[in-house]
Amino acid sequence: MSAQRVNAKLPARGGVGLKADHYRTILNEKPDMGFFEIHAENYMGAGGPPHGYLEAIRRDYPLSVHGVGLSIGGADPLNKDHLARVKDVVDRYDPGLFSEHLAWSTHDTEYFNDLLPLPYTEVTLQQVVDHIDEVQTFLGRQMLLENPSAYVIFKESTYEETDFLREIVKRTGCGLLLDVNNVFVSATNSGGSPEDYVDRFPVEHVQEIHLGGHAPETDELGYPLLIDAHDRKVADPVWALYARTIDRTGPQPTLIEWDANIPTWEILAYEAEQADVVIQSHIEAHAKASEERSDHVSGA
Amino acid sequence: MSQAPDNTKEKIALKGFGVPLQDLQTNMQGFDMFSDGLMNPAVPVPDGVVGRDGNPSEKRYGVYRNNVMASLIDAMAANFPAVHELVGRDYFRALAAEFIRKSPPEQPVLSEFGGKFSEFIGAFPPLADYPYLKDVAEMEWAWLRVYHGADATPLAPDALTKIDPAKLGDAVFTPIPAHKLIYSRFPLSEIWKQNRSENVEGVTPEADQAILICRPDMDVTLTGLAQDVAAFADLLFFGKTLGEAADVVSSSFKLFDLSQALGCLLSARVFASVHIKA
Ligand SMILES: [Fe+2]
Repeated sequence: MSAQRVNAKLPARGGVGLKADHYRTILNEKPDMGFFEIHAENYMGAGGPPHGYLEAIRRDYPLSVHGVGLSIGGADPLNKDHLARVKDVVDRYDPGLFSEHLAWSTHDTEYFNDLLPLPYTEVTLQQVVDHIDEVQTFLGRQMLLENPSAYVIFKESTYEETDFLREIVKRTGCGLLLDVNNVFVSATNSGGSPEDYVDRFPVEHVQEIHLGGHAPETDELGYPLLIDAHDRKVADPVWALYARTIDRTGPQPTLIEWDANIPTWEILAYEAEQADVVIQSHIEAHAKASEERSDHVSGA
Repeated sequence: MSQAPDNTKEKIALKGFGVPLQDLQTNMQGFDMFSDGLMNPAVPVPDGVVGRDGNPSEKRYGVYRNNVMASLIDAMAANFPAVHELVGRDYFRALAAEFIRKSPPEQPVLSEFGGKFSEFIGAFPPLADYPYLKDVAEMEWAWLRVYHGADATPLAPDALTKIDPAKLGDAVFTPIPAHKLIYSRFPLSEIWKQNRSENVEGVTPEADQAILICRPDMDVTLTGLAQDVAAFADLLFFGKTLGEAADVVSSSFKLFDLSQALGCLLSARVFASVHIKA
């Protein structure tokens, strides 16, 4: 079965989140798309149409598996049963990348179905490091950790998020998934600069980028409060921040996350093409710059 | 995977001595406090969870409260679309919120959340005048289990012709894993058709006491079964031989037609295999 599949490695191109609404279009039209990403939790049933479609789509496209339920940032031990189910999905589909979040979603026995924030302290750092060690050992592969979107500030935090992530990578050897929309949302919500965040990010460990739409609101003091809704197009300033990011990270597999108010296939595919356009113009600018440098050398 | 590097000692050192116990306790309390208010709007914003002025922000913490409840209610609506249709959007959201607070999910796979919903509806006093809702929820839950059930190839239509007719009475059938049999005293097939736009096959006035939900390939199929056929199916699913099942059913249903019943189950393709009991 796996012999019929395309190579697992994700290309440095735009890709989209795989939605049931688009299964048939993808299989019938075989559109040109860099890769698809799934939420692991949507493919944990024993069988049925989700697996039937995904098996067929995986034959033609590379895949990224994105977990939303491991609660890596939580204070409780990881849910071993759930980790085993994640491994089943990863083993079954041989994804190019597996990623999870710097966030938590389970506490005591309750699962909250949201990516909840954590303070950045020595204690939470050790907690996250232990959990990532456990995940990587159990899965037998490297994972990527994604920077979260945040609406609140924790008084007790002693680390900047970028330093916290750098330290996690140092201690676990995990890679990073840089969500540029999350950067924009979190920085705006905390009154910081998204550009500074990108400039301080440990970009050498980035292996994937996320882009998504956010909803603008305001808090009780009148400050902007952006909600990471994934329900619309990527905002213009996020595209600009993406171009700045790509200049630092180089071309990366770039996912369009659109999880609510799912658009038609054409609209979604168009967003991914825009990522290709940014990557392409980065590559051309880069080539031009090195050409100019070599002209300069030969002319000297 | 191959053997992991042995850094166990280092880990124990970090876990035991790296962090003062008091910090661990404070940390756990922080997670407790953040969790407490997520499903309960009466709980104030946790200390230290602040906005740009350094003060606790209801609006900001409220984003999490809202995400948690709204996303779980959405998951319930996706799992129980007919109940949603029947009671209407606003009522459903209030009902699901009530259920979620009482029985929050205990694991992250939301297609497996809501197994206790029908029971909850049945015991919910304001819905006492709508007793069919409990059965609708039960059928939707069964449908979901069949939809996500393990795949198996159903028996070929000519499988029985290969069996020596003299031994047919000793035939034992194994059903495909993706099947459920639902009983109700309400016209579920009609409710289903109106609220989920899916037909239940083979429904006659006599054949609406039980519905066989199964998935022989990618699509879930629904088949109305008369009471005797349903009883027969149940016995076969339980591992009784064809002969045993037919005897039991004929003793309570004088008009039981064995070949018609078997034909009905075979054309529903609910069996994966058949063997002769030694
Ligand atoms: Fe993301």
